[in-house]
Amino acid sequence: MARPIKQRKILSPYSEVSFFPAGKNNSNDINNIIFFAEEYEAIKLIDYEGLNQFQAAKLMRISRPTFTRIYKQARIKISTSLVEKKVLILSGVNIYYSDDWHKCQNCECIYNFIDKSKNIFCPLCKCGDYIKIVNP
Amino acid sequence: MKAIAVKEDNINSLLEDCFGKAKYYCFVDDNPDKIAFALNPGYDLIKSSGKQAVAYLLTKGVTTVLSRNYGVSVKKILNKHNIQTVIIPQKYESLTQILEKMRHKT
Repeated sequence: MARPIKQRKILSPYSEVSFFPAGKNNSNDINNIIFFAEEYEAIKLIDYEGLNQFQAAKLMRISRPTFTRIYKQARIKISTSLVEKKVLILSGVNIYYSDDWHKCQNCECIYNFIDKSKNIFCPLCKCGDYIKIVNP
Repeated sequence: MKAIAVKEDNINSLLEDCFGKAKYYCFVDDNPDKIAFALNPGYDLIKSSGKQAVAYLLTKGVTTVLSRNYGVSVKKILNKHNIQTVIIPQKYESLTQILEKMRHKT
């Protein structure tokens, strides 16, 4: 039996869940591309942050060859989306976050919680109505 | 005290997308009507602008930072100093909208 897929560490959640080509807004299209959170993180760490693959793999707590596979898959999906004008839907599978992240149900901002001895409330609107973010 | 990453040093400023690359920070205390702006000392640096920014914000006594995106090294330093991180959703575009949300507590 194959070994279960190891969970990938994601630094911080993202507030947006899809990317649409201009003029296209059908999020239920069968041709949409599912872009996994680990692929998004791989692109962010390498192309946006400028880390090398070894550093990025270490941050995501996975091996360097696994990281390379994820990164390659991410680039294929992005190029397909650009060329074929397909919608990218972000989705989280087999991931965990580095902090305890919460999403405010009122203002929709995402925040981590430092002082665990106090009650959790949103730093923006001060409401205590939140959901704990497990997957995007 | 909270620090919000903004593009300009006025109340009509747009929010900056990346925390470390923000030109200015808007400081807000408990009263959202009393705000102050400060230049990010590392905004024109190609590298480590976020680290410089956090070091500066620590001297100002900031306990919460608000931005749309945080870099890896910045996030590490913020966690090390127990500074709360807030990710602002794209629906908020300007500083005015954020201050308005702070005023109207639910």
